[in-house]
Amino acid sequence: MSKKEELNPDYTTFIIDDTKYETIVPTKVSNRKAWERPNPNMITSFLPGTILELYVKEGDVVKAGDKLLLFEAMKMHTVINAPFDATVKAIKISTGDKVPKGELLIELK
Amino acid sequence: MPLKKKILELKKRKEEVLQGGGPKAIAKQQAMGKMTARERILALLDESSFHEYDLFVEHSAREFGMDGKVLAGDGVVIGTGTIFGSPVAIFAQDFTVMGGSLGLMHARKITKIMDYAIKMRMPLIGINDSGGARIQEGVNSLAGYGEIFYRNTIASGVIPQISVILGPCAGGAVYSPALTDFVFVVDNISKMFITGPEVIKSVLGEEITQEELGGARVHCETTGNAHFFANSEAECFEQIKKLITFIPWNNSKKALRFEPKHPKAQYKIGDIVPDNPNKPYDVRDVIRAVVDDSDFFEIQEMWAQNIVIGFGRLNGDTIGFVANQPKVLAGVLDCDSSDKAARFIRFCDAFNIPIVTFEDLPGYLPGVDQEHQGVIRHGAKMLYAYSEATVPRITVILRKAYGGGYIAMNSRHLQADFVFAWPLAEIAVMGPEGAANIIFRKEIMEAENPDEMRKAKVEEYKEKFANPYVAASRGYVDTVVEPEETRKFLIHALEISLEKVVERPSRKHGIPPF
Repeated sequence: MSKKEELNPDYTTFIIDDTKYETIVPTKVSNRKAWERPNPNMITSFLPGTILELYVKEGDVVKAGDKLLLFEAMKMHTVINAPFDATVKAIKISTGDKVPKGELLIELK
Repeated sequence: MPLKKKILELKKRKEEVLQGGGPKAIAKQQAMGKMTARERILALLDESSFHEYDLFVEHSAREFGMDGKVLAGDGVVIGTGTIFGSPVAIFAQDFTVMGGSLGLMHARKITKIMDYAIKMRMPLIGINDSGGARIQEGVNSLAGYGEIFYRNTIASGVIPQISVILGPCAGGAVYSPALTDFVFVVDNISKMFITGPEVIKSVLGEEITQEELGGARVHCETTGNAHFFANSEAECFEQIKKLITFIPWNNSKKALRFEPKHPKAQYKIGDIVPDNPNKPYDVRDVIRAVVDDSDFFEIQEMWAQNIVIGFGRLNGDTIGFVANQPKVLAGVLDCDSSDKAARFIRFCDAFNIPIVTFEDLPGYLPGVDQEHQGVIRHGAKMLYAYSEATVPRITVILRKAYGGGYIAMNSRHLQADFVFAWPLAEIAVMGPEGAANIIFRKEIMEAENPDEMRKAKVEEYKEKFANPYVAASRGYVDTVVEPEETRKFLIHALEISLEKVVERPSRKHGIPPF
């Protein structure tokens, strides 16, 4: 029984606590993306939706709480505000654009 | 009118109801590879054992074209019968009658049979095949669903509840299977989701088919919502019948006892687990080497494969098995596997089924995704489920038992009744490589040849701690047994545990980490 298992080509090396194990690693685990620290300057969409209105243009100086854009998702209008005092470095979308979740909308600096 | 005429009238009325939605609708159902409601019940239950009730129930809706509409049995068939002689209550939605949609009387029929099942303390089987709420009946349909979910909850842990998804089961309706104990699905026929592809497309713009969103495979491999996967309805019914033989009729009985049988000779228990603790094997072979007739009935085979759960028999009695699977992810515990095991442990505890645990794991799966998914909360479910269970619980440590995993897998400290270990067992805080690196960090760093020193220290740790005797010296392990003795020790332990009594402080119920 073990001989057959040992020859299984699906086995790969999996390390836990400095110990190497020979085992099957499902794609859900092997496809895990390494965690990246979120960049607070990147304003991204939290849901798929539509850009209804842009309140700023590139170069504008904004204060914490200032309106950046109006976003429509799940049939609700949500205002996305500046999280801190910043300058609008780049606007990646235009009014009317339909965006998926996690799309970069505005870059601050 | 004389009796003969009345009987003819009865037969005629029955004939009409048995037509369901009529020949055209039945043909459509068959074209989709689906059986009709009554065909399914008759295929599942013992021959001639089915008694149907509420055939003549009619809806009383008047709005939106319902007035004058004749719906046979209001779209659902209910009744009682037996499976291998065990009583069961059953309902099967009839997709040929207005898409099997649920209206007030349809729901009343279902809640009636549920009430019978609870009162008469027998297993409930629900065959779901419905387009959902009958919109024409408005909030009456919602009321119907609510009444069903309440009863699913009240019956939970009192009688076994089985859901069979043989068609669409969408929107609110899908909460009924979610509340039951076992969900059976069939490839290309079962569809379960809260919001369907059309709504998802219009609100979120995401495109996905019904099958990709909530087909049988998705629920068996990804969501963990289903427990058994079949390629055809016929195969599904065989699975249901087999499950029934393993479980009791209600929570005050034990499952039926079968003729004891020896495991099959082809499974040589001493040959299965490799000496090298880093090499994989299929733990199901160990289970098969131990259970009667090597007959292991696995549950949720396709999900969280790093842990194995299912039923087998020891000396004729049903036993629930939980086992780490070293051939997948080295048998680690993680969110999904903890959920899978914990719920099964609670089912066994509710229905007087002793639990045997086979342990071989290096710990929990590390990773930011696991932490952020709440492995803390999910992992705690296993600790809760084992600790709470009062059925006899026996653990056999096959090989590795490291750290938190050692505690979670029904250790002595969670009040396991018996803990046996194989001579191969390594019961330690972590593996020798990891441990040596931490404990002997200084020696290794300061050594002339760090690699040589590390190797020597790993060997030293292995010698001292990678064995079952340190744990045995404290009585944390009751005894060390040879693999060939395992079945004998398990059977004896279970025999003497028949009258087990546990005293606990009284409480309404605990608050498990959900």
